[in-house]
Amino acid sequence: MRELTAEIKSEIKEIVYEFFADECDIPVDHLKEGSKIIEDLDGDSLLFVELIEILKKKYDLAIQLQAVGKYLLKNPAETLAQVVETAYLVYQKENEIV
Amino acid sequence: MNKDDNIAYEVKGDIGILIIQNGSKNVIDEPCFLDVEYLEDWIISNSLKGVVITGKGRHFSVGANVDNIRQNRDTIGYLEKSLNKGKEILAYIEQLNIITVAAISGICFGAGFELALACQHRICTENALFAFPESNLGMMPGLAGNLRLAQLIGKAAASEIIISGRSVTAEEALEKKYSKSYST
Repeated sequence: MRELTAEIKSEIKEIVYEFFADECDIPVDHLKEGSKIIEDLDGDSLLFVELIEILKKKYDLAIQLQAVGKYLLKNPAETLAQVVETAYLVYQKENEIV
Repeated sequence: MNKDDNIAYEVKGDIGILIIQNGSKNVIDEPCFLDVEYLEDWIISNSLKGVVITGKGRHFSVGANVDNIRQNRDTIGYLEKSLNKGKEILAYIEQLNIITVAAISGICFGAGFELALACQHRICTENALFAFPESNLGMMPGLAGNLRLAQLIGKAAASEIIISGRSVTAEEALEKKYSKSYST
């Protein structure tokens, strides 16, 4: 399992917030931890697919979308905070997230 | 002659643009998603020299309507008949004697990927992602996309992509020559 340092945590959180701000056309400072991806940001599940690819590329992660999909079936990420937490787990556990 | 609600037809000069438009994901509800007779008439009547196929919004297409497949999996002959019709549509696009280009952004999965593979050229944005996720559902690509991909990149590489169901980035697509180029 990869070590999730405070620096990496902060970086991942920043990546997630900037990604949603950009894709949902919302200023980053308007995003809140409780913002709901679908209801509040008018996003969809495909955003998560793209986000995983960004993280995969940046950190050279061994993560398959199927693994994330299986994890999300049991642990839905509906808010921005939940997406960030899932992103941390993806970084730490990669395909072993399930 | 029908014009499908989920496909928009636009003409710019002598280039036709087919736009998949079905929600934010551009789901392809049915394998027979496009009226070939209408398409043929549209190409001829507008004297088109090329056709660009793209998706409305952020994504090309997430692929087939999985719920529809699940609902009809026990209906004898339904899937076979509709998939054969879908194959005919893609074969028609493939054999067009004008230039065909799939302009891809975002997600290009399953049936969407098969449609793109039926075009002569594929260009994509940097955030494009390709995949055949059918294997996750215990299925195979049903519109001969597996054969077209094998023709493009070889049987072994195509099998790996199809069996694993993994996603392929624009960068890898360019490297493996699925796509001619990509831009941001």
